[in-house]
Amino acid sequence: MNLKVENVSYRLGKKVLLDNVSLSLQERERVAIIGPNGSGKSTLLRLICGLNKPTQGEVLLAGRCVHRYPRRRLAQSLAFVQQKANTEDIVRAEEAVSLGRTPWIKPFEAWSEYHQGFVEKALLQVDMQDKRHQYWHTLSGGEQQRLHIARALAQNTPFIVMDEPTNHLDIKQQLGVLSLIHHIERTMLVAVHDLNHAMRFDRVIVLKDGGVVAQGAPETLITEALIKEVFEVESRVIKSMGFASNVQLIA
Amino acid sequence: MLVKGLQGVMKSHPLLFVLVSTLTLSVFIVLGVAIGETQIDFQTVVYAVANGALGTQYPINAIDQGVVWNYRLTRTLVAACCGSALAITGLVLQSLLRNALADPYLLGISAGASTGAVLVTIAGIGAGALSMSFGALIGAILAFMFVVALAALASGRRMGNISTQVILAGIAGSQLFNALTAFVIAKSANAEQARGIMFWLLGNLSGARWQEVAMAVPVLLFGLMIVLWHSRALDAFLFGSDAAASIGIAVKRVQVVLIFSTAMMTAVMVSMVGAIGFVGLVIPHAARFLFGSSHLVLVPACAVIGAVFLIVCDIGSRTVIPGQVLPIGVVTALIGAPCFALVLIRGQRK
Repeated sequence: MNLKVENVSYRLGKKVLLDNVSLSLQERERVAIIGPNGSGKSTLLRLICGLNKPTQGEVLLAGRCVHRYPRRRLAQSLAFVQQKANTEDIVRAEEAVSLGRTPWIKPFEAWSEYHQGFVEKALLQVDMQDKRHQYWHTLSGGEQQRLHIARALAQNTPFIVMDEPTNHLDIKQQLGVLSLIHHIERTMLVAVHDLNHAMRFDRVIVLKDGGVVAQGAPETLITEALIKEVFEVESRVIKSMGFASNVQLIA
Repeated sequence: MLVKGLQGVMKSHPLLFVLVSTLTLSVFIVLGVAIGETQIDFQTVVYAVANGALGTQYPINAIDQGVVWNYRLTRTLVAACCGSALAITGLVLQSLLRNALADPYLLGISAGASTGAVLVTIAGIGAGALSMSFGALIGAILAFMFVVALAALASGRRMGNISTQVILAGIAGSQLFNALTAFVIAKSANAEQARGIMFWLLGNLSGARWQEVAMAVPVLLFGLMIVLWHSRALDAFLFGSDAAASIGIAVKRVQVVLIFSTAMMTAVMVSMVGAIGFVGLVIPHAARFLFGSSHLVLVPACAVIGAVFLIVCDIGSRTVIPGQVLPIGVVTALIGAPCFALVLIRGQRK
């Protein structure tokens, strides 16, 4: 199953948020999208997940436009982890994760071992089995984010799309979520804020002003010149054998 | 612990739940029929119900027979249906719009109903050919359409924003229709009419006869089925409508179906008994406190608690002041507010 974005533009009123963007994802590929604020990262992810409809062009999943999919069918192929999703309701960690089974369960179907199996596996993967009975509002931001990822895992889709999943987290939790992402064996498309995080992906797509500026393997793509051009800051990219390159920003 | 226990029992033994709730409902319906201003002993009540329902010929006073069968029983049944419908509607709106303050009247339904009722009874539209409840029903539906149209216009293409727009449009619509009602009352009502309409505006079950039962029961059952069918979809709105969409919910369709069907259910109830406040706001919160957040459990729980609550309030309204019937809306708030306060305080301790 592959995913293709073909000449997609998105306008809101007169403002052009995305301008003729094309890209494609291969199976099991981990792709990061980087770009400054307002470059269209979130908008692009929303279009890919079918939450908004492109003004022009189309997003094709397995050769079929995502807007032609029934919502349920689409959610069986593609899971989305939002930047921040919260609730005021009194729910337990495990209940939030079991929502991931929604596209697979019929309206009056009883909850079964089969569905519980996916929830268990997902909780294990994000290392939250111990806190499964804890209430949502008593968990830290990092734990909540891990549960959102677990929810996406329980959804058991070939594709997972994430919008800055490490936002609002402290450094340790950021690294935790990041290494989690690297142990998930699905096709992943992740909007990333931190360039050093992007270094750990298979491929990086750079967005600026609603268009794709460059894409390629992070080691060769992310250079001081590119960072200067896209983010308008001076930097130093430090390469060391056996480790991912490190981007140092110069104030 | 309580929450987990109750929710677990309801999920693992749905039959037990059905049994317990049927039993509870029956007990309260019997209480509603047995308790009232005129003292009627329990045996007479049973005979009267048997005479009416099974066609038996127990020799009892014709007045008692009439009071029990045509007055108290119908009134209690309508109260139960209204309580259920309002609680379910409140639950659905709170879950869909992600707003703890959403209630059945949010969409302008009660305001529209009162405008309709006032136009028929006081301004004399329809020249006596229309009943007050018909006027109220039309008013409720028109107001609802007005609010929805306004919300749709206001949200434009940003559909993700619709829940805020619905709430704002509801406030605007309610204010407009309430003002219209006040205008008509101020312009053409005499003191007697004004008092009568006030009583209706606060909720009035005294007009409930078998005709109303025949309307309320099927409407409630139909609405309940639709909402139950969507209960997993309602769960999916836990993290908002985008999250719901990404786990496979056709958000717009579910919102339209649920808002429309619960609004119609409420409109029918309001047109019969007036705008009974508080039930739709408070019962869903109480149910969540007791039964957790799964709608497969919450929906039937709200239906039962709402029904029982309104039956109890109706008994209260008929008996608190001897020789006088209080508007039921006054009783729901008087009993409901302290209960709600308790739930709020205990909910904080979690």
